[in-house]
Amino acid sequence: MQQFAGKPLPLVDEVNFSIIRENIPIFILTRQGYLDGMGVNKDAFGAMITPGRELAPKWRARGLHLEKDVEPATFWISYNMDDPLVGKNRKLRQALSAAYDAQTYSDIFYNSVAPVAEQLVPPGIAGYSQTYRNPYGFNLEKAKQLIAEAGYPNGIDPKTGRPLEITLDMVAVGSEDRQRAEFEQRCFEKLGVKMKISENTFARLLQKQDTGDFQLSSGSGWGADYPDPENFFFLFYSKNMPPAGKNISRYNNPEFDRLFEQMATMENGPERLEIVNKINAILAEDCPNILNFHKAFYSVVQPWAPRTQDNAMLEGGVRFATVDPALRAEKQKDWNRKPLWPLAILGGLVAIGAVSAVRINRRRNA
Amino acid sequence: MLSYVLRRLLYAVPIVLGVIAITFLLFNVLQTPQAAATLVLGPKASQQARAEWIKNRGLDKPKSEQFVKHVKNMATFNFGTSWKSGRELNEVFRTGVGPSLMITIPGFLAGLIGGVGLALYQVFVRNSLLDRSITLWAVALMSVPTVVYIIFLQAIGALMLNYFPASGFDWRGLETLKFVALPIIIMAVVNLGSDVRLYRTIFMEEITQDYVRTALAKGLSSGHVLGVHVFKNGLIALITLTVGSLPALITGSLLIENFFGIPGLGNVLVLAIGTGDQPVVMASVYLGSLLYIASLILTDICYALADPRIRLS
Amino acid sequence: MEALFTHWLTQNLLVLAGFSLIAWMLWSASHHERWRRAWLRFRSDRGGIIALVVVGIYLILGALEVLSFPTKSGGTRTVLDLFVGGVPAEKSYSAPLATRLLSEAKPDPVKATHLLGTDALGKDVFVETLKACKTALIIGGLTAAIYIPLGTLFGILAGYFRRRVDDLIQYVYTTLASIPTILLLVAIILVLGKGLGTMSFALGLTAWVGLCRLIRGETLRQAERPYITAARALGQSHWNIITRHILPNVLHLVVINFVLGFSGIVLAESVLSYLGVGTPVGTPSWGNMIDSGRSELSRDPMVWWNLVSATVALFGLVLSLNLVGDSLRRAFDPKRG
Repeated sequence: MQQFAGKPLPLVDEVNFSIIRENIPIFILTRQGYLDGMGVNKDAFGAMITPGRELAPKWRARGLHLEKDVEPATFWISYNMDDPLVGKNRKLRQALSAAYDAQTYSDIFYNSVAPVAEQLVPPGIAGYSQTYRNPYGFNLEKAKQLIAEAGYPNGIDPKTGRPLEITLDMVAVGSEDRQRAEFEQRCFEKLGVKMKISENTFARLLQKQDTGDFQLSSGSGWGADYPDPENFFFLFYSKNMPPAGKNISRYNNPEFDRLFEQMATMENGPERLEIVNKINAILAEDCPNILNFHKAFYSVVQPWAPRTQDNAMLEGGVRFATVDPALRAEKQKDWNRKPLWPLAILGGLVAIGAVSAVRINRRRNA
Repeated sequence: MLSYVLRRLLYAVPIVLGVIAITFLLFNVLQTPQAAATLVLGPKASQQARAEWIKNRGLDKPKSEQFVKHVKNMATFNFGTSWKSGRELNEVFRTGVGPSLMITIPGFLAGLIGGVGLALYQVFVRNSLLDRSITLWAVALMSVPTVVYIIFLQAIGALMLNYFPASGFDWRGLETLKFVALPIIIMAVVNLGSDVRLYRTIFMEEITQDYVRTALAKGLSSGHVLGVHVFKNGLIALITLTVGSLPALITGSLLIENFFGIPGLGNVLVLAIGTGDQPVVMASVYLGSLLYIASLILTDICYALADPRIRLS
Repeated sequence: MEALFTHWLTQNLLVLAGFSLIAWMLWSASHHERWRRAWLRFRSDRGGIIALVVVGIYLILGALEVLSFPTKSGGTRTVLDLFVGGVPAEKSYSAPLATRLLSEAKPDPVKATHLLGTDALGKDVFVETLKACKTALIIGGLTAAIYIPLGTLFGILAGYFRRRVDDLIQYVYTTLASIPTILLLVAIILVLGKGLGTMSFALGLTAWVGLCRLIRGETLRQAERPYITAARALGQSHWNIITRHILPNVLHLVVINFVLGFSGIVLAESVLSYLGVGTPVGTPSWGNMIDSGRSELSRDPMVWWNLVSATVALFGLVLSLNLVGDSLRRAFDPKRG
């Protein structure tokens, strides 16, 4: 930042916000040099990031920089605690949680970069423990046992003799969403239940979450607004019910509430940590959600538009963006060399066509 | 002639009314006012803000009242503003027409020239192996889904060969061409297969006419006969068949615009459906139906011009 | 209700019924002069016969996927599963005939050889492609079951009775046709929910217009013929005339329209998947494979097998249908070749 000291903000003359609805063109445009930077999505990962979590040599040679952002955020699948089936059957919730393979999810969709979430609070926020393990994390054997204890051995509902039907609500617009949905479906169906996927537009999903019209809802998550665990736990506070509040799971536990109110205003210290641990234990047992992963966001920037600030929670950071237009023009030309051989082939075809026509005509008139 | 056209226009009125009614019905079943409010104002909005929003747009009034108001608006081309962006719809349409036409008109012309050229070539080499293989190839071309064309041509043209930028659109004078070149090519290719077969049929029918035999007997070269006489006479049938698709060019191709991020009218409609932007959808459908009816009338006029017997019916 | 419909016994019976229907139609057609003549002409068109065989193969593949039987553990398996279903799923992508997973981070060895590789969730692409036959055929078949009766009925009514009836029917289908197809399809599916049934219903509602116009035109032409006037003079009822004279003479158009339109319906499925209103999650479908293939092409190394496999399968079916349709057209009306 030092190099910019004394210069008036903003550092560029014009900022262009392009809304690109598809993932593929973003990658292609970055390769061609028409975009100054991009977030590395699932398909670009394999191409750009090595297993050692570094930028692949081919891209480093071009001068791109890799920026690793760890936004303190966690993602999960919410249960609806008011639902007569899943809300009242703790073993069932625990069983489904133990059947969910978050590591493979991260492997497929985040190239193993996003860490599996063992607890609600993400790394970087006080209260996060690197050694803590979710007692109902992925363990298929345990899951099968739990679902039998829940009253549905092998996923069969003894009342109907057929697999238990559960509905998972999510936003499914686009092929990647569908793949995620299918992955979750396959995880749960290993238990023998029948997982129905209910696809919604984002608006309808929000509406359903507000009215409580769902059993499981995927894609729930929270990014820290400020670096404090209270910001995450308040999502399960009983006084925070929708539609006014954000307690989508409708979790209502007086013991949790009591501990929450206690720690909300405490200073960080061993006492607070003890309460946080107790809260974690309660949440793990009650299982109002199935934890998925913590966000780890990689992005690449072109050599002519280096990062100038690193604060993940800063709003309006666009002020500090900077660009070297000369370098950009040069690299764009360099990376977009156009091979001419296809045009030659096309020309050849036209020539052949003309010659054949002339020959056929001559033969006909002869 | 004039009375014929006026009669057709009069027929159009109940159709347009029907269209407006159906879309109104569809859309009000699709989305409750509550959901629309949540969508526009965002998930963090309060109950009260949503109720106010609904009231401001008159969405709480009885459906019949809303419908009458809606019909009046459409008739006067008073489209209002978009729910999602708040922009004036007339402005949205005006800015969207440009990019759409930049692709559809050249695409249509390119497809026409390519199709007619190939068809004439086929007639020139008729019944030879070349002719049959072109027909087979045209059928094959028809059998590939549009989506695959878009994906493959983008992958090849932009990704591997670097001829064009992969997507996006910007008005930059002559530079604009590079953004629309690939969509234009795709548009031309997608319909090429079925077009070539259609035009071939038309021109082959002309070949069997007596005047062709006479012209050849008089000593004109087959190239001249084909390129001048057959072409001109076939053109009449051709125009009659294709003029109907002209008005639709204004709306642009939904798929191509969506895929390449072209901010044209087709894209506007698809996005509006996805986000539940009711005014935009209603207005788009209304305009779309007007264009469709215009295309029907245009086709009828062409038929009437080409064949005077029809006018008298 | 849904439980009854998806029960394996019902599905098997439906397949049986479907094939019997086809057999009956062929048998009754062989009794009509016009059809017999057309068949003779069709038979001599080698290209058409090959294409017909290919369509038949697709039909059999689809049927094999619907025919199912109960297994010991309480679930059901399809007959197709018996042949190709034993292939285990991998973790994620792998190239055709590869020995390791595609992932650079965890290139574990694969559990079995996959002829065409695996997709994002590790499913064998070859098996998926075969299974998707069923989806395509069901959508095509259900849509046809809706739009053919509708289109034929209204076309004949409009062409035969003319005047008021014709005006009304023309009004209905012109209005319907003015609404952008995409909007109608998306709206219907969003209202009725996703599923093969609602997709077919929506597609059927938009497809009947074309057939109706075609049949109306042909009926108008047929109704002018003297023998119809004679039948009326003899006192034959409208119903009799329609079913015994008009209908048999327009049926060939219906068949041709069906064969050529089927491919359009199957292609429409891929567009709908692209727009997000395609088949439900977990249903194998070529449209979905093509849609995922889109983003996979820009990976490095490029994942092409998903897209190519689905495209080739789709192309094979559509091309064969188009060739059969063309041959049929030539068989019924040789002058228009």
